[in-house]
Amino acid sequence: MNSKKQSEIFSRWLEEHKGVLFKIIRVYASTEEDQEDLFQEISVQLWRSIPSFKGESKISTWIYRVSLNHALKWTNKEKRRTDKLEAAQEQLHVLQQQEQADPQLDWLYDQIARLDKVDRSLCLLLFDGYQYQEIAELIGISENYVGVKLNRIKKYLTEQAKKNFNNGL
Amino acid sequence: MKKIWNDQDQNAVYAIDEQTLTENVIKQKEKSSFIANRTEIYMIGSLMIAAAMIWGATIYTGQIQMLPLALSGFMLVMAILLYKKRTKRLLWQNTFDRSVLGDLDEAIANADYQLNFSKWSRNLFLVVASLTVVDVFSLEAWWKSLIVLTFFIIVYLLAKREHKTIYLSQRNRLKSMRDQVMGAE
Repeated sequence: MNSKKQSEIFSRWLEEHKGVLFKIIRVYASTEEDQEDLFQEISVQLWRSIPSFKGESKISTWIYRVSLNHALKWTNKEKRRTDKLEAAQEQLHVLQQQEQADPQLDWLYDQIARLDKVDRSLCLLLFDGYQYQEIAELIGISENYVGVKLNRIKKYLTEQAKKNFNNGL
Repeated sequence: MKKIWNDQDQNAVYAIDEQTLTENVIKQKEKSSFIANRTEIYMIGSLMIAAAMIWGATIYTGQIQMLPLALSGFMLVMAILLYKKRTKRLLWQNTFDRSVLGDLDEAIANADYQLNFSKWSRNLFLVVASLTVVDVFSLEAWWKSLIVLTFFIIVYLLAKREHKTIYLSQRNRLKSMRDQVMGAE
């Protein structure tokens, strides 16, 4: 695959599925610099993954797999990120945060970000409408285990919603 | 909660400067592929060039010395072994399950390979350094031998530190991540 075609596919994926990337960086990175760093690193992985995509799964599923995998690894690189801070500041920024005023959504993101790294992935996939079987295949764990984890997550989120909002969400 | 979640799709949280992103992506992509693949190629090339230079010097001067020739033979064998290792690595890549766990397994296999490669390179360095020190050693100019020996020791210790702080910790991080994904299953 030549670089021009790869670039076209990358732009198309980005245009159609940027929402997935935004959700992932928001759940896995808290500061603007970290979100910028994670976004760029995931973009590199997506670009590199294009020749391997054979159309056996939906594009969105593929993007989720590549991005979540990288986000999980990225969260383990805290020390390296601190070292890279200076370099990152010199880099041109590609993300500009738009006005966002939805306290309920902010609260929801905050709750998801409190979950452990793997549970955050499961939660994102659940909210984006993936079935247990699809989540199990995408992550590489059993469907039963996905069920157990997601039941715990749902229970936790419901309890938190009840605590923070009188009638839940 | 689902409704709040779905509503966000109507508004983009960020605006992307796509041109800058593409430039950064290409820059980073080239950098990472350089590190991953070129190390082996440069190592094979360096070994072959060094071996050829020893042979060239031997032919040019017409003086056959056993130690340098043995060293060049050793380097050639190592270059062939390294080429075989690289071919094997390229064959097992992309054979992992297409899931987050499969990707992690591939990353762990790559990290293990890097770890072995780093260990292997240090051992190779140790042999080459020992033979070189023996070759340059002379009682009259003992300080020269000492400088060469010190240089090799420093490089060896730096390589050992790199092995521990970069490759080993990277592999351990990936393994702990895999354990987390697998959870209590």
